[in-house]
Amino acid sequence: MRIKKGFVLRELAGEKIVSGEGLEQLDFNKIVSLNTSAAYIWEHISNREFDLETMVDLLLDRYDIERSVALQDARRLLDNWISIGLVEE
Amino acid sequence: MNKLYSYIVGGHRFYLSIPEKSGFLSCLDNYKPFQESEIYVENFSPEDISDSVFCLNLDIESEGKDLMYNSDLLAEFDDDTAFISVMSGGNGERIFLISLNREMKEQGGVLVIGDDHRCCKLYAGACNGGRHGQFVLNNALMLLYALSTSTENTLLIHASVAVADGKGYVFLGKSGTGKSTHTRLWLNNIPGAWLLNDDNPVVKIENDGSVMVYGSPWSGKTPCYRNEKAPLGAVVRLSQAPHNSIRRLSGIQAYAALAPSASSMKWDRVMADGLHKTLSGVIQSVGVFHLECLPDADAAFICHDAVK
Repeated sequence: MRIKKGFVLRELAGEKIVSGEGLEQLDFNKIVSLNTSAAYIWEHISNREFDLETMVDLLLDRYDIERSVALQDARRLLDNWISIGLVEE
Repeated sequence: MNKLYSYIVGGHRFYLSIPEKSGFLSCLDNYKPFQESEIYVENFSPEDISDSVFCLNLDIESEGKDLMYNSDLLAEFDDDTAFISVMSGGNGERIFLISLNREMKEQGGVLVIGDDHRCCKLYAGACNGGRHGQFVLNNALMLLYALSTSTENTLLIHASVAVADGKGYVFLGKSGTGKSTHTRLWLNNIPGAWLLNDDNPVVKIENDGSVMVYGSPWSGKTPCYRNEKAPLGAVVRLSQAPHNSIRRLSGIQAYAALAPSASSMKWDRVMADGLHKTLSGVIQSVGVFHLECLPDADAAFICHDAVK
């Protein structure tokens, strides 16, 4: 899967946000805020194919956590991104 | 011969060149308060207008249709304010077909913006003058203004602005929410309040960091074309409710309240970057509020008390 075209990660007063700015996202009327780990994942997968495993590996690279915890967090984040419409299969 | 007008809006100079004897010459009353000069010229060079953010040349002979046939359609916007079709031309120029609505598009004007904003063209052969011509010209200039000033800490926003106690209070909301109605309530109930602009004011972060709101030649259905400015006191997003209540927004919520009201072509990265920078700056120095309100005097009082 991939992040859909037209989304841009921006910084706003120390926080990370994603807004739909491309022609592909003219009807996207939300602003999505990302916490530090979500922004970290976004930065590493926004221009390429990825799957749940990619996200889990990214979390394990950066954080000292159990694989099961990383899997749970990545799953929750991915489900959220899919439900908002940020991701295409 | 052409008439070359220079205007200053929100502290930014722009030029408008119109062929003499054009029907558009009688469509410029809303620009008069912002006019700096008008001269007759045969030709002018880019140096003559280098002190501007853009120059728009009107062509009243051509309808610009040939340009459209050789371009790619990128998007169409069709809402209650205008019909705008966005195209990319054969040489990468940005092309916009502008009309009141889809049915009127054969009578639309074709705006062409190249790399140099100082030689933009509006092909208006299909709408020379008259009410529709005026509509097309106003929208072409607003579009150009928003595009050309986006990197200059400037926002053209869809809002109504009342000035009270020497400060400008900007009311935002989806169309039909009652922006103008709420402003009227201020004018009628807050002593000394006056209307700066009813539809498209300019918000700008000045070089010294202060944030100002300016009147403009674009004010929707209300003929209020004041060449005045005031320090921006607060930004208030309105929504209709069965009660009156107001709360202050911060961070992302403040950003999300203001951003949808700024005119933009977000898909243009340079413009989107400029817009984001200005929006971030404004919400860091000015209070942003959400007012749930009835169309009554009490709404104006609680709003004024909270933002002043």
